[in-house]
Amino acid sequence: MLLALVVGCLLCLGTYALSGLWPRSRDAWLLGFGIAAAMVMLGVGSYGIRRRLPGAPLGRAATWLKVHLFGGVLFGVLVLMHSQFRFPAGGMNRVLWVLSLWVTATGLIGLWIQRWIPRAIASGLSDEVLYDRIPELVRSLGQRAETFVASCSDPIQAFYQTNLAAMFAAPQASFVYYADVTGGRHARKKQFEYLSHALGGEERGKLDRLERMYKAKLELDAHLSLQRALRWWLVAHVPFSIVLVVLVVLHVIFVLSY
Amino acid sequence: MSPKGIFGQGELPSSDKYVYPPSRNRLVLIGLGAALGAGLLIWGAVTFLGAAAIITGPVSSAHANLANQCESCHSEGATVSNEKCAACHEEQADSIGIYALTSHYVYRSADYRRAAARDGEPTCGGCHKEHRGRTAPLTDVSDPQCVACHGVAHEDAQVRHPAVRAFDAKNHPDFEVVKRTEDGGLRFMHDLHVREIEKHERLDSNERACLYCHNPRPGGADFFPISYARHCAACHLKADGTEWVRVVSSIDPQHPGVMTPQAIGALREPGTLWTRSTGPLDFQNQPGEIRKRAVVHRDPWVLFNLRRLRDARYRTGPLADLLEATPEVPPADARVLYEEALQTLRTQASELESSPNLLLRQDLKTIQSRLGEIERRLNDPTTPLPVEPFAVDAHARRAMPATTSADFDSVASRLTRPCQTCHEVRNTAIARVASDQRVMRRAKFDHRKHLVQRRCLDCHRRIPIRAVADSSHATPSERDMASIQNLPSMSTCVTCHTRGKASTECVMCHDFHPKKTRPSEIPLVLE
Repeated sequence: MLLALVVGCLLCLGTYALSGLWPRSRDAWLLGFGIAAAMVMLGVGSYGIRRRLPGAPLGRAATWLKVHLFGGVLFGVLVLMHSQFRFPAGGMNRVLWVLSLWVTATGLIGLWIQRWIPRAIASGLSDEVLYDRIPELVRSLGQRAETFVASCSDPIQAFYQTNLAAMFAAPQASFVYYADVTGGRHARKKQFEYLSHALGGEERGKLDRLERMYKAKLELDAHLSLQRALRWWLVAHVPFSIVLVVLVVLHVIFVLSY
Repeated sequence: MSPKGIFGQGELPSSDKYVYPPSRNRLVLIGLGAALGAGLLIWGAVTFLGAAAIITGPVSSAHANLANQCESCHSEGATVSNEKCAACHEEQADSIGIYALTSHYVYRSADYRRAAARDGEPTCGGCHKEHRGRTAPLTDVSDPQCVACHGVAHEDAQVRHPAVRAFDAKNHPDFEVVKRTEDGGLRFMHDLHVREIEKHERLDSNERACLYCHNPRPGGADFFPISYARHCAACHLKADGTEWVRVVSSIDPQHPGVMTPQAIGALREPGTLWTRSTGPLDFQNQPGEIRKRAVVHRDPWVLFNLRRLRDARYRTGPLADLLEATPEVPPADARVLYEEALQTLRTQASELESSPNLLLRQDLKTIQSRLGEIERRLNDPTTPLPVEPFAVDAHARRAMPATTSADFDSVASRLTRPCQTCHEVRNTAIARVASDQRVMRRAKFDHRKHLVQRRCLDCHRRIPIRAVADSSHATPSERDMASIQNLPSMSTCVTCHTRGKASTECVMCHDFHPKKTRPSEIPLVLE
């Protein structure tokens, strides 16, 4: 896939370089690159329709996704060739140019996110959690922690109120989880270790249970942070893609009409 | 506790119902809403703010004042029509419409039958692309726009052109003038003249010798016509005398010979005033024969008798007598003949005006009438100038015995012996010298630009001037007859003008429109 992508892009760039041999035919070449970009865009965009027809005999979704990814990168390259690798003149042209690169870039970022985040979750977190259940689970965990701490000794209650209560109150997304999927768990456990030395045997067991709840909350926050990226890159990609398709259609109409 | 149990170290409750992810249609709806918004924004900006430039790029600097007046160029929902361009650009036309759009077609085809555009002709906007930014050049027309029409050979009653797809030997015809077989009308040896000038003037390069005759026009793009007075007279001031020729009282098909100056003067014809200034010492006489001791350039006695001999032998047009040489010019250069005829008539008129003889007034009237007719034709660029009035029909000889015909040739040859040192004699007349050095009609060439990198003889090498001029021992070549002005073929151009080197674009050498900066070329082309 990567090899095909590199070869495809090199072919496009080679064609662009070759077109420089006929400088007086530049307009025709640039128009050709634009037409190719529009055609590729339509092909790439049809992936969205394929996704909404899961039962239709239209080939494997994985193949469609590959075509979507391959074509998406090619589209970005062709748009740059169409504009001679320059920021174009004219408001609409500029919007089109920026949108094209934005959609291509968000697509590539989405590809990276979809490959990296599942691996990070699988390797760094012990539980699998549905993104949409996280608020409910955090609420449940918080309630159980409150109930549990009420049955503990004063030092544990004081420790909970000072260090943990706010954290159990609500899901807390953080960019920390992108750098360290455990959210610095080992460093945070130190405070449990300090308190543990000051407690007796039974209370130490209760503290261990509270620590497990704390670890579960950290994982829920990590899930929330990481899975949110999986959802939100689509917001940066899909609506802009639709605007791009509509504006490209308008662009073609204007070019043909005027 | 969930009825489904718990999972993980945190003892999290399993869901007791199916969890459905939120629908992604929301993203599509957001996208469609944003697209609708963008569309409305564009429509509103164009409709209410007149900001048409947001659709595409700004118009060029030349049209910047029309930037927000779409209707100036565009009809409702349509491309730019030629009529819209003409609304402004036709105003630039002069009184005879040289710059009118219709004249552009005439200019390109040099054919008055094409004074209107054919179906499928490119529009102004088709070649001159707008909305590419303020600094984008409108005149930057790309080759495919030319090749779209010229790439296919075409021949019909109105248009004839070969297929031209690019500037190389395979896709572009060689220059028409190179393919022509006729010479420059002059019996001339370039190499000998260059050698003589170099020796006499002590020049250190062949090219400096070239410039002694080929004098650049201001700007250096091309050269002034060659002139005897300026370029030849310094060395060839006076020629030898004629040979002995038979004297006749009047030349007719039965009696080839020449008339004496006295007999010519007695005719009292227009243009014979020179006979009065002819002295007896200019001629030698012997029984039945005469010769002129020394012939000058454009010698009136020689030319008068030569014309009479020609008229007696061939059928000629009504204006043929007004020329000093054969009327051999390309049809596009007919103006040269009319201007020469005009000059002859003016000379004749001035002679008659100074004459006290009232009997000659009728001749003056006739001359002035012909003058008026020629001037009218010259000043009317919309009517092509025919060459037929000057024609000498060599195929329609007057009936005469073969021996008499040979006698005519003999008399003409003996009469023009000194002229033949430099001139060809054809059909009993001096061959016209192609003195105008502008040989390309459709293409433009700037000598000065090329001289930065090449010397004259690097390109003009059909006649091996360097080989002879640089060696006093080398034998001069045969008379090169100023053959086609030693013009290089296209193969010389493509040594530099080829892909990857100097430009090969169509507009490098060809114009589509007449250039306003060079209006003098327009009448020339229009003829």
